[in-house]
Amino acid sequence: MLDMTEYQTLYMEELDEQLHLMEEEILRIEQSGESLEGIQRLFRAAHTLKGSSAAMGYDRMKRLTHNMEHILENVRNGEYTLTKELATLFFHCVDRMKQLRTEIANGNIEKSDIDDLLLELRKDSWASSPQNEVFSGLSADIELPDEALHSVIQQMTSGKKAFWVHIYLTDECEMRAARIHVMNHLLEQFAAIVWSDFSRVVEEIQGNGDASARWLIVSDSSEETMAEDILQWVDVERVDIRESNITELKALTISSVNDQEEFSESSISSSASLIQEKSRVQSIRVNVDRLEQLMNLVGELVIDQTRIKQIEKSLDLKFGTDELIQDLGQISDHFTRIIGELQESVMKVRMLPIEQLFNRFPRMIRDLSQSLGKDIELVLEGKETELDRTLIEEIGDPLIHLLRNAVDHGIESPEARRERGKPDKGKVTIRASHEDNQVLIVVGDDGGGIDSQRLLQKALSLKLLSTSEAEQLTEKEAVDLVFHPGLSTASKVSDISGRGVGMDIVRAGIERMNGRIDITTIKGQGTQFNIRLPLTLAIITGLMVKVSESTFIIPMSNVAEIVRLEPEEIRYVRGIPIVTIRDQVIPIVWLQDCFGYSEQHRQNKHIPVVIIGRAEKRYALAVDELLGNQEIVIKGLGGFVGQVEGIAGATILGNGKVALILEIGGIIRMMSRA
Amino acid sequence: MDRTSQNQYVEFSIGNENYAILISEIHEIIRMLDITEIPNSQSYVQGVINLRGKIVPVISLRSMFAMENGSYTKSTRIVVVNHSEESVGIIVDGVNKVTTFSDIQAPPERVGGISGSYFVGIGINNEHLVGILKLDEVLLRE
Repeated sequence: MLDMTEYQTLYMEELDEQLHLMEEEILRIEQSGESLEGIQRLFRAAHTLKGSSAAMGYDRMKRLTHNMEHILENVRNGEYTLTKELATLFFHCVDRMKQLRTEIANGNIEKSDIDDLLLELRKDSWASSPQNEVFSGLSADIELPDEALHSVIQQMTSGKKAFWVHIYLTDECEMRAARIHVMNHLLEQFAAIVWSDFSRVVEEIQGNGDASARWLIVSDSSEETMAEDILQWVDVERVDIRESNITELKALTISSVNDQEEFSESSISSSASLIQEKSRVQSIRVNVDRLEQLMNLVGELVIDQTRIKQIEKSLDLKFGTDELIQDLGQISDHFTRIIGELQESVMKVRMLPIEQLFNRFPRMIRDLSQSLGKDIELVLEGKETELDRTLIEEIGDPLIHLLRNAVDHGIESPEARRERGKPDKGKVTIRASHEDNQVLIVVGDDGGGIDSQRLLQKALSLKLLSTSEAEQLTEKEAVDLVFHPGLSTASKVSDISGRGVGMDIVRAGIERMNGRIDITTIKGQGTQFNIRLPLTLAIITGLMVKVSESTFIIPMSNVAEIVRLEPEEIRYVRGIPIVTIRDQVIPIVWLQDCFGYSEQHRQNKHIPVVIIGRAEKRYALAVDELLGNQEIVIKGLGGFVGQVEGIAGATILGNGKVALILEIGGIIRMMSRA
Repeated sequence: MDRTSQNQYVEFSIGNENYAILISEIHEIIRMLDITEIPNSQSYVQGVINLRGKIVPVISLRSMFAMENGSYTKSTRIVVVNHSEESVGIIVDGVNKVTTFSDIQAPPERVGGISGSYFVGIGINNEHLVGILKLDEVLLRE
């Protein structure tokens, strides 16, 4: 017996890939018009899925893809046009296939009914009316050689017109190939033929299949007289004639260049796509669990390595310049270097381009903007930016939320945009890039911006803050109110957003990843969310601090500054200890108070203080001692302990002890409650 | 009943009382390690230990059963059990022996001030009565 489960896995992977490809392609066609290579790719995807679904015995999947394939074939032949309605229908099909996919994954049975879609797909209303669409009908899949274009343009400048002529032979016609040859001759007598597919048609004609051929001619007669003439010829069933123009012809020439590249697949259309092509060839699929395991093992090595270093130090202190200890020192140094490189390599293996996340967005924005009646252009930049796969998983939901917000609240209605003198079409941008060892993701829109006054009023009416507090807020702090739980600027609650949960969750999620989010907004011009994330979640640089004999670790990404305070520098405002650093008043918090440890060590001459927090809202964390920074491997506390406020996880130190990693967001929440 | 097919238990003591855990539920028994406290966590969670590079939470049955906290001695052990695919350490005052029970009776509603639901039953062997822990219940997270 064959092992079906293995095939099943392969099939599922292929299914995911092809469904994704289809969705992407339909979107592209819908946005920038039909192109031969797009249709071709779509066709190939449907065809591939049809084959593998049939092989796996998934009948509904097979029938759906088969019918899509059929329509696409007709689109390719120029008989149908890919209209918006057809694109929407294809989207429905892809959605249904996703549903089927889930069903197959869960119970290996296709449950969803597909008859409604099949009925739609089989409707014959997709046939095109050639006059409407530039790239459709008569000229759908034509590739015009450069020379042909030049000759047309030359003749057109001398006052002649270019026409597409499509002649259909009657069913009764015999010797079709010869008949088409004759027609080519007849045409030549009153027009200059620039291009034709008649020779291909002649080759393909066998038996009683449909026969029709197309010509691009240049002539000075009118459409009507030509049609009259041609209909007189023997065996002509029907003729379509349409005048062409330079724009269309140029477009066809350009697309032909692209087509050739697409099909040869070796030539270079752009360096980026070349790289992609190459990496596809050289990559292999690896089970995620194995990568996880590899990362864990490297984590153990990192821990052991710090322990060896520590032991070497102790030995050195104890036995001094013993030769063996020097040897050990050398080996341990080498070890450190190798492990460092190993760690980096494994980290790179886990990195994925953010593309696979970004690819989900165009479809989402399309659906959203349709349901909201807004016209929105989504710009994706920096798809190739790589980050840790766990980060990609985690950042997905926050990004989706921000994008939804941008479309729903950010971009104004077309009327409001016109009033402000902006183009009807709103623009939402999402851009990823690397910036000093961090990943920067920017979500921006050119909408109305965040109205801080309205936020303030709302916060006041909901009694989220007092009037005196509101007066003290800076503009930036007022804008930051969007992150306040229970506050949403949407005046009406829509399906898409505006339930008042969300932005605080977005921020909490990003902070859990040791990332940061901040807002720049200009009223009337748009809003921009900047998200900074570490490259990886698994290993971070941490600042080790000592509090009441315990060691804690503060992620370096959270540390704004480290200072030592003299006791005199501490002042008290309404009983709250504060310190002024560069004109900013920062409240001081003793870390042991956060954790309910008994007070001690406060009489230190210098108090080491770690400044944490976001821009305007900073806190000074007073600790007993700073122990320096170190690369640390983040480990979870496990499900049994669960989420502990203020603690992000744990790590194992060089001395073999477990140290807890602080979650600064949680600490700040604890402080603002106190 | 065939004696060899009888389930084996590890019997341990907390204070003056004896408890037991089915041997198949136990991963290993280790000596006391340095415990790192977790502030703001459940009171019965003593903290976490480094078990050969793995971070394992340890709990105190004493505080779970509302007993007085005793100090750790030479005989204090951590019984590491597997619970829903995670390791959890249980601190006990001492491990006595591996044993079988000739008879196991349904637990009463309360076993010396502790809810009976924490127990599979009361094991009886020739010396004394032993509360057999129901790990699913003991390690149930609220």
